[in-house]
Amino acid sequence: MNASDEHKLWMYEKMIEIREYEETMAAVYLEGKLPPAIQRGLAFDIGSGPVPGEMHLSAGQEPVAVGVCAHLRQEDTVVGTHRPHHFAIAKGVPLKPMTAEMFGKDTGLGRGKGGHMHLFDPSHKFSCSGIIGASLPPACGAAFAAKKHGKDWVAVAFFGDGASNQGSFHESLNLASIWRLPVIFVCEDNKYAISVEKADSTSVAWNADRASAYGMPGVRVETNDAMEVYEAAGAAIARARRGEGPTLLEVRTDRYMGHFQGDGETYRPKNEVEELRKHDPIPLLGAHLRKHGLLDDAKDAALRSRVSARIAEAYEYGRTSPYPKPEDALLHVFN
Amino acid sequence: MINVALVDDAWKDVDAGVEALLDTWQVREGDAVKQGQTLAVVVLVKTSFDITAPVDGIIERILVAKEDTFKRGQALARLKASG
Amino acid sequence: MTTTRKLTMAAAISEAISQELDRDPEVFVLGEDVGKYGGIFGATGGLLAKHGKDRIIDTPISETAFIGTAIGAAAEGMRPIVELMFVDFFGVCMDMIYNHMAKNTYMAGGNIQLPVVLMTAIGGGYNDAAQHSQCLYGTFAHMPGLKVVVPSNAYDAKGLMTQAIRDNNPVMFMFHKGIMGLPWMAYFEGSTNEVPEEAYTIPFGKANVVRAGTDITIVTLSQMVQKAVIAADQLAGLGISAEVIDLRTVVPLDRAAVLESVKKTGRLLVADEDYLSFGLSGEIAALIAENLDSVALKAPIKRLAVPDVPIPYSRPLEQFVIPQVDAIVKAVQRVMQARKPAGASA
Repeated sequence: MNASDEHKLWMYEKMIEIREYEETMAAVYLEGKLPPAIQRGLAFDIGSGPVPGEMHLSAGQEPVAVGVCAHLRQEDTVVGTHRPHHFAIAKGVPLKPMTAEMFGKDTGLGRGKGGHMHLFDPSHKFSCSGIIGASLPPACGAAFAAKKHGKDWVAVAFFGDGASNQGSFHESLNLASIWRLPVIFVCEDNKYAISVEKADSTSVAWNADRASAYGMPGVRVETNDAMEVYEAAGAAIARARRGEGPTLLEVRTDRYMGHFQGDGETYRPKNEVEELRKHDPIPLLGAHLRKHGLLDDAKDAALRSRVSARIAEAYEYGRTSPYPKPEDALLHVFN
Repeated sequence: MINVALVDDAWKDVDAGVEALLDTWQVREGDAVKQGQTLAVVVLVKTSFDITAPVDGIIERILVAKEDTFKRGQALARLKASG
Repeated sequence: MTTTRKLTMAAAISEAISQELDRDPEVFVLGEDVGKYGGIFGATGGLLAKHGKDRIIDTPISETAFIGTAIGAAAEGMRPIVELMFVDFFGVCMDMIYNHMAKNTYMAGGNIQLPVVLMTAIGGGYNDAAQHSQCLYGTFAHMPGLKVVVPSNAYDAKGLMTQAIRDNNPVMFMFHKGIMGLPWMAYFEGSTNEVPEEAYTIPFGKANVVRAGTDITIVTLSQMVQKAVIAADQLAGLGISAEVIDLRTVVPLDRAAVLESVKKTGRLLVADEDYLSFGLSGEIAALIAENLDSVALKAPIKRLAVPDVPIPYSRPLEQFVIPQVDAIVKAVQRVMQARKPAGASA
């Protein structure tokens, strides 16, 4: 299934939005964390600054998010990972409350309680978790509910190459298969689980090959290309909507930044990221669009300007929104 | 007299004004050192770097103490070349 | 005379492990990112280079499998040190920990031994939110069969880790990230202290009186010890003499030390970073309540802990729920001003 022009342009703009969002966050994250602004004896202070704590950015991995989410409706469910921004943005989670959440503000998606790894937007059926492999079982649940309610809605569980060795992966695939759930399991293979390479942790070269062990189709997308992801995801999602059950989709993608911001990445060969950026999926799609007369300099500039404005507005919202009151910490344990 | 510092290349992608941390010294003032010997370990943002002696010599002065931070280009120690 | 130097708690832990690796060929380390990375919190820093990849093993993200592997290997006479990256991840592998590692020795009538050290990072205060900030020593202490060790400083950490490795029983070794002395997380400087170069052990079940005092006993552990010491300094300036007891191990618990101190001071504050209800602070309070025939209280017991909510992300919320130095000071002041317990003598 080839992408329509509309979808191609949407994917291009979304990837630009994701990339700029992540690059902006990479800089904002460092604010207040570096000497000389911090406690003596530290090179970096993770708990300081306007966006404290951990930060996992998805620059380079945009195609996985846009290629899948281009097919999804608002009522389809996405469960993401500890590196969730590209999924959230592609699913339509509004930038302002998402950003406010990362600034820990009361106007954030979780009123500041969740932070960047725990973004919940029920109106866009988006959630994520900091626990590896935790996206698969709840996605099965959303798919189960859709089926019970007689809807043709689907659920997508995103997870990494590292997660495929976690028990929840195996249990979820088996369960989705025997119960014929409309769920798509999307493995984002960026080669690394923090410092451990896939080759050192995984007993098969391709996780897609594990699908047959669970009685479902396994599909590989071997290049970090939005249109290829689009095609493979489209088939899997259509299958699920027709009631034919789950699919395991694996995409080879590239992580341009560290596992977490501040990761010295000494385990990575020195020029690796430089090499990976030569195959940047954004200019790749841009070139395709230009070739087919869908994009020119003026349109590109206008698009980028729109994106920048949205992002600037979101970050401003995050910065200027009020913090919650300290005692609000006691609220919302129960409903 | 040679100033020992963190290579400029390490500071490439780092914002102006950010400082690095002197984590540990492996030598003291007066120690004789050989070319390539690790003198100190520093941390810039979150990457550790070994500071090595550029030539054989004696450590004349240690200019930045353990747990202090330093700027790009700042001398960490003075090394008197021997021979 | 052995020379001493100051080590961070992370360096002290990895030194203890290294010395035991040298001493006993059955010792080995496994876990996520323990090798190349040196452990996410530095607990195995430098070990791969020194001891090689056959003894420092990077695992897949398969906690049930590799913790189970540690158990099986221990039953065969090996001495594994297995790292659970964050204690919060226990959810995915708790069966192996509490149904097997903790219970097999008992179910076998003492006929087997499982010398496993399960080390794990605990604690919050740097905005890592609900799934990455817990302490949970109360949870593990509650299940019989696990020793629970919680160091507050480098000197103790090395001695306790060496003891843990040599112990023939399963030991949960829980190190607080905020006192490891990492160059990327603010830490309380009291946790980096002088550590002897030679190997040494610290026995389990022996609390440490970190600071002697006469007006009130603060029972605490882990990073909270460092906060309590700072609070005690401030209280001294206000004319209040606080005694700080560092439990060091939750299982076994040095009940005698707690009782002795509270007998002396007559007042107790438990400062705990774990959740308030159904945990460690309740255990300490129960201990006193059970010994009121020999301990005279001048004020009701006070417990300071996380108020039964998941740890929130946002800074003002997190600072509110995790007891800070000023909360300890205020709590002590309230205890000092409290009315005597009903029926207490003057």
